[in-house]
Amino acid sequence: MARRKDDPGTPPGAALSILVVRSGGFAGISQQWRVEPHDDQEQWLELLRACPWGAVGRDTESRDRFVWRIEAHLPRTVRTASVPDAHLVGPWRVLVDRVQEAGTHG
Amino acid sequence: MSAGIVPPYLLSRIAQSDAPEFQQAAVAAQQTLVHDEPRRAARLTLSLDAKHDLVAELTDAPNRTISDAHHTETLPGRVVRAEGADPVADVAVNEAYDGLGATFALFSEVYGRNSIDGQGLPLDGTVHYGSLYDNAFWNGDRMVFGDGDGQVFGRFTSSYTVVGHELTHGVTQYTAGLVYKDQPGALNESISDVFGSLVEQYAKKQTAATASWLIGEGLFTKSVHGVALRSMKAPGTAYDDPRLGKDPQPADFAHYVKTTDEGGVHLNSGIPNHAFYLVAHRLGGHAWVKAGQIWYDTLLSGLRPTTDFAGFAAATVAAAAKRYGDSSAEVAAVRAGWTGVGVKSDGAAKG
Repeated sequence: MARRKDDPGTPPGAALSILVVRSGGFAGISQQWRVEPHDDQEQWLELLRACPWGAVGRDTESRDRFVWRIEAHLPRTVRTASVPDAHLVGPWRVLVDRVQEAGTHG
Repeated sequence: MSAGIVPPYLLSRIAQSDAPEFQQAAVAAQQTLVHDEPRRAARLTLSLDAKHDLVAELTDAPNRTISDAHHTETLPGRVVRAEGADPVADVAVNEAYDGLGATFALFSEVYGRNSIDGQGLPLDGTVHYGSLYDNAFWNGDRMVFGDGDGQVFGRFTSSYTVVGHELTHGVTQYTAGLVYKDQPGALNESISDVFGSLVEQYAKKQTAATASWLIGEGLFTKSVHGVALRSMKAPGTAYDDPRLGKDPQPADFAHYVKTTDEGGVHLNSGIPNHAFYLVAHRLGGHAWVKAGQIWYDTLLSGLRPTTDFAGFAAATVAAAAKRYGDSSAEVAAVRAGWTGVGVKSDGAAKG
């Protein structure tokens, strides 16, 4: 089967970790969350595939808004995106919410 | 003497009046209606002089609208308090309304600036944005305030410095247009902190010696080991907490950091923040009178959007020299302020 352009490209069962770093904001205090899923990797991969890694919107108007750096560490590649708070919607928002709920905060 | 915010329908009535005793008031009201957009406000003061002639004075007035996002991230939300309306039961709404009023007052009464754009732009704010939202921001059109998570942060409307900071981003947007990255980004942030602090100082009539010079005082919950988010007097000392770490702001250029957050705009702002404090402290008295005036003059001096620290420093020296003279104590104070944070101010001001 042909791989989609934005397919993270990891076979189920391989090592996977997702890091979410929230920077910016009025306080300027960075926060990060990390998840290393094992049993439900295919669900996480579906979430990663749904995100538009190559088409993240820009926000040049806002000041003091959060910026979300999202890293998907896969065995053969690392996908990264820097998502302005104004564009943290749809699959990006679902992914970040899931990482915050399931991951470790530090 | 009475004073109040005059709604357009009343201005129209006054403007159409042909009563001889209202002649001046009618002219003034006509001017307001001609020069101002429909939503723009003015304050009309009527009084009698010694000869019992009616004196009408028009001054700038804010036009505030506060909306409630009801914990969603949909803007603008539902309007809950418009200009001139009485306080409501919701403290966040009233804090935003009052904070916008205090910010408008500083720029209007001290620097003669009529709102964000200098032309009476309405001031729009939204409160209760998002769920447990730990932030306040300016989105290019309005100020937006979260309620905080209740564990680390409380309401972001609770400090005039935050409201003033956000509105000043609008002023910078309409003036210097400093890009939001690296040194110009840190200057953009610092200018918001400077005037955010001055909003609080002006409202409380504090001097440079009695002001806290804290940004976001009271935003942290009691569980956090810290007094505020930033200190202009002593950058790097605002908090030291097991969960948040230590306030990482540098106080001098030798400790400038390159990091996330657009190159560390909220960290490196500590350097020009402290320079402003040093200038204000040396000049004494009310900081908005001289130090604030110099910074405001600089903002309007034709800065390039990519101005760096040294370029801004030189521009502040030029602004002080233009207003107070080359050999003035004010110029000496500005130079000393920048020297105190390790930034050269002797370059040609780049405009």
